[in-house]
Amino acid sequence: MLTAEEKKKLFRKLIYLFIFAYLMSNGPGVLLVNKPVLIAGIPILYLWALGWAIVQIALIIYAYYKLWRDETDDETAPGQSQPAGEGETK
Amino acid sequence: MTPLIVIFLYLVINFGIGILAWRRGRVTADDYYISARSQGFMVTALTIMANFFSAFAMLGAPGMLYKGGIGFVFFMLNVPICGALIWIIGKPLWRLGKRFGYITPSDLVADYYQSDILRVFIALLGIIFVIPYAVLQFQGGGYLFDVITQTSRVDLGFFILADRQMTLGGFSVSTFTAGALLLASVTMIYTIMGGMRAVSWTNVFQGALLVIGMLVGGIITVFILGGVTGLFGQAAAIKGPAIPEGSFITLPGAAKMYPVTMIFTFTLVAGFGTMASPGQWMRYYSAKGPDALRRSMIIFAVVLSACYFFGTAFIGLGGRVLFPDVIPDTVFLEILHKYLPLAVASFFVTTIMAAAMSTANSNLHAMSALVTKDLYSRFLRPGGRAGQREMVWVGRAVITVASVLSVWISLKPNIGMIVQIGLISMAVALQMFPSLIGPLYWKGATRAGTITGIILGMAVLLVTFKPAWFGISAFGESPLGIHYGFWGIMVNLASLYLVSKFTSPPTQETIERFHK
Repeated sequence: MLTAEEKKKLFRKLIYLFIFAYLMSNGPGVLLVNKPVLIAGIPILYLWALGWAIVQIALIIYAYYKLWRDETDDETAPGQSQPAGEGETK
Repeated sequence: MTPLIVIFLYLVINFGIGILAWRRGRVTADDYYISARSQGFMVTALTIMANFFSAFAMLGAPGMLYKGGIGFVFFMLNVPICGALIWIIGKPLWRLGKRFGYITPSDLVADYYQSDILRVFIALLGIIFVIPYAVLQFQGGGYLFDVITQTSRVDLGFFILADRQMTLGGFSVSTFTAGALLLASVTMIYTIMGGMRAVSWTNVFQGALLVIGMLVGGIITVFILGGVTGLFGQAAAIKGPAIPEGSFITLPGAAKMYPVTMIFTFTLVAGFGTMASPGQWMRYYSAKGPDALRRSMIIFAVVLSACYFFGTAFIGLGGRVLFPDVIPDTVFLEILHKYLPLAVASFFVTTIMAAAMSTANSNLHAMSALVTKDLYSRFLRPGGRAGQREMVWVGRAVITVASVLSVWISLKPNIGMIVQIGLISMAVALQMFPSLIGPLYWKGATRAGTITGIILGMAVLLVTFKPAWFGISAFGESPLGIHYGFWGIMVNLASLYLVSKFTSPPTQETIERFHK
């Protein structure tokens, strides 16, 4: 079980990795493969986009298992309070 | 006759679900607008997905691939971003919504900054988002009815369908107009009756249908073109007077629509803009608990990415090979109409209809909450003078007016491609995003900073959307190939930061209330 501080650090690392994946897919990284080339009959740009989408989804699933799965509902029962400064609009 | 029967059956099922939801609901604002925060994970996941996937994804996105080539595949990378946002912003919004009893986005922002100006601004941004988004759904309804009935001939005396004209009694309209009206009126009626519960329950049915439609549509296209390699091989070979060979599988694409700056920026605009839109925001509030949002995030990211990559991409690129000269937004419909038996094609048309209706109902419903809660009950009937029943009925009137207005606009000629209209909506919704920064993340954000950011962000968005309107002809639209929504949000965020540095944040008590 990770401590709160370790979770924060891991979250930050995963965000950086996600941004890196985005820069590779939709940023300057895409220029590395911007050629009319087919690999096994499939355009290299399609494979590139699909590959980085899989990386991004994998990061989300990893974060789900490592960081978020065990977070609990720490709130009170619904409808206990009203928006401040709102009067009784509900 | 077959398309009419299949579409009729689909509409009856939706109507039935709407009536069930209406009978189950209570006439309270909490129940009508956010299902009394009772939605489990399957309803939450499917309603978020169904709200997200619309005529934009089923008709517009294939149209963009058809017109500009593979560059639009990169737009699909907004799905993992949206998936992550369901948890990263959805969880804290759900928590604050439950803690303080919020119903609309403005409730939260106005409460944190103690500002009625921000309440009005957020409500107006939401309204500006909803109208074009509803317009494009009804436009989609017009296209699908027009294409699927183009060869139909029905003569029942009082009702005649022939030559793309539909006549009922002495009243005659084009099949495009009939489709838009039909989709709008059914959506409007069950949304008015059942509120959020009807919207969510129909979204479950519609969400399942649209996933089937998208994936099977992709498989059919691949099958027609002799497999995946056959499809891509023929797309790569497309050429013409202004289209060099290979341009369909490279950037910036056939019509030079997708420079890297554009795919970088419009994907972010779509991702953050969609997930900050009022309809999605209210779905975070409606969830039963964090677990519903957590599981929705995974289902959303995996299922919708698959739909885009293995459905939309194949339909759009394959459609260009099969039909070099049709209206881009109708390419999926043309494939269905030409290559499938009419009954089967009609079923798939209902899956597209499901996508359009599920988004239209969600957004019309969200708009009714914005107008009723943030404008009507706050300014016209202040101090809680509007009772529960009155609020629900005002909401119903708003849905009626917004539906009529949206369908009227959708029938205007030359209003643009579906995706272009959708991106305007998303760019506007994105300007709401910085208003979340104070309540959720940065204690230094101030009311003045947030207001300044929204005003300047919207102004820059407008100028970069159509520079010519302001006498600026040196730049094209979206200067430097950067999407106008991105220009707007950059100025919005910079203004928020700079003005906040020189003005006072909310009271310590308020900050602690939100950030504890």
